[in-house]
Amino acid sequence: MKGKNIPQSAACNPKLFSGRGVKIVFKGKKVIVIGERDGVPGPAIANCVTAAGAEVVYTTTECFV
Amino acid sequence: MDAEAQENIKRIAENQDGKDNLIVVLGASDLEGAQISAETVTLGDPSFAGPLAGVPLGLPVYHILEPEIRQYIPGEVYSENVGVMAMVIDPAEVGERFKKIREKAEQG
Repeated sequence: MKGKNIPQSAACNPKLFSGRGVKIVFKGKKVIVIGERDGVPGPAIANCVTAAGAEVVYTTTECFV
Repeated sequence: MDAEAQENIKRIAENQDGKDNLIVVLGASDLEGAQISAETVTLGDPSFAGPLAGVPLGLPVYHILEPEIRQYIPGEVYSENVGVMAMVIDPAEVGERFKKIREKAEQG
């Protein structure tokens, strides 16, 4: 099951980090995933952010061929 | 980003009570393409062709390869889903680029 056995350090870490003023923590966030066929596909990103405690609300995988 | 994706993202963002809880995570291998996608969900569609033309959603945008993102994802899950791309693309460069993208978005 996705999200099971999530280490506390990853899923519940209250620490925020900043991209110069933009703060993020995955737990409780809703995430729009825009993957790419030749990069990281949408479902793979969705697996990662779900495991980090976020909720995926939209997933797409773009293809530029 | 195609028109259908833009329309869906616009609808989702507009239906949120607040945008504080909503973020975007990209996975493009081409950083120029990722930059265009990032600009589309922050400042609006730069090509002015899609539903997000002139619609600055201002959503925080990240790339799955950024080191700061990786630290929050269990290592086994990250390796299984992203691992190969992290060896092809320099995560540090991705991190720097996206920091600049977020700075630009903050400045509007």
